[in-house]
Amino acid sequence: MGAIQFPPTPLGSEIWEQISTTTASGATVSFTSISGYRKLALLVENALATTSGTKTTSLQINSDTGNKYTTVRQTSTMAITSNSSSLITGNHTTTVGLDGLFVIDNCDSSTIKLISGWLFANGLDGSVAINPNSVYKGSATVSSIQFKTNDTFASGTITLYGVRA
Amino acid sequence: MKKPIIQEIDVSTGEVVEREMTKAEHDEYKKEQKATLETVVE
Repeated sequence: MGAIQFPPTPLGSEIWEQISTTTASGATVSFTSISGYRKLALLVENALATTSGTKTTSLQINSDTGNKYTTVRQTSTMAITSNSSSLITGNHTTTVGLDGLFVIDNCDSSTIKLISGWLFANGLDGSVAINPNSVYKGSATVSSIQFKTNDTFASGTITLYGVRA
Repeated sequence: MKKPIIQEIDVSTGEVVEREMTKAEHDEYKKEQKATLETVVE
């Protein structure tokens, strides 16, 4: 009889590990050479824009600009964006940073990728939380992730986590 | 107009490179700039 492990390891448990972290700069932060992960999570903390006005952040997989991203977002109403060229992840300004967590599942498979997300503090539309639930209809395994703004990032921290396949 | 920068992090080596957008990337960026308020504010 083997040794008893305490606390027990739950069946199906997931071990998340930090893959990389960076200070946001430029218009796009791209994590490349990703390999061997079943799930990936992108944590965005206080990503501020450089230029005044409301700016938009978005996420892409494998630098794919094809119309393969469909999103359902819940704010004060429901909104569906079908077959767009990126996954819209929320607004930010020079004073209201974007805080969010975006989890991508099926990263190591040749099927669609499921993306769920939580925005913690996007105050621009009066919402405390927005839950974009999305599908990326690309068939290749995930080898890179791009987090983008249509401005440039003034600051912020972006961290990539993963669960190994 | 100077093209915006892309920050690339190779997670296998930890190497960080900042480079200018290619023409295709810049064209996509300009398209996204125009789309801001149409696609996000509901």
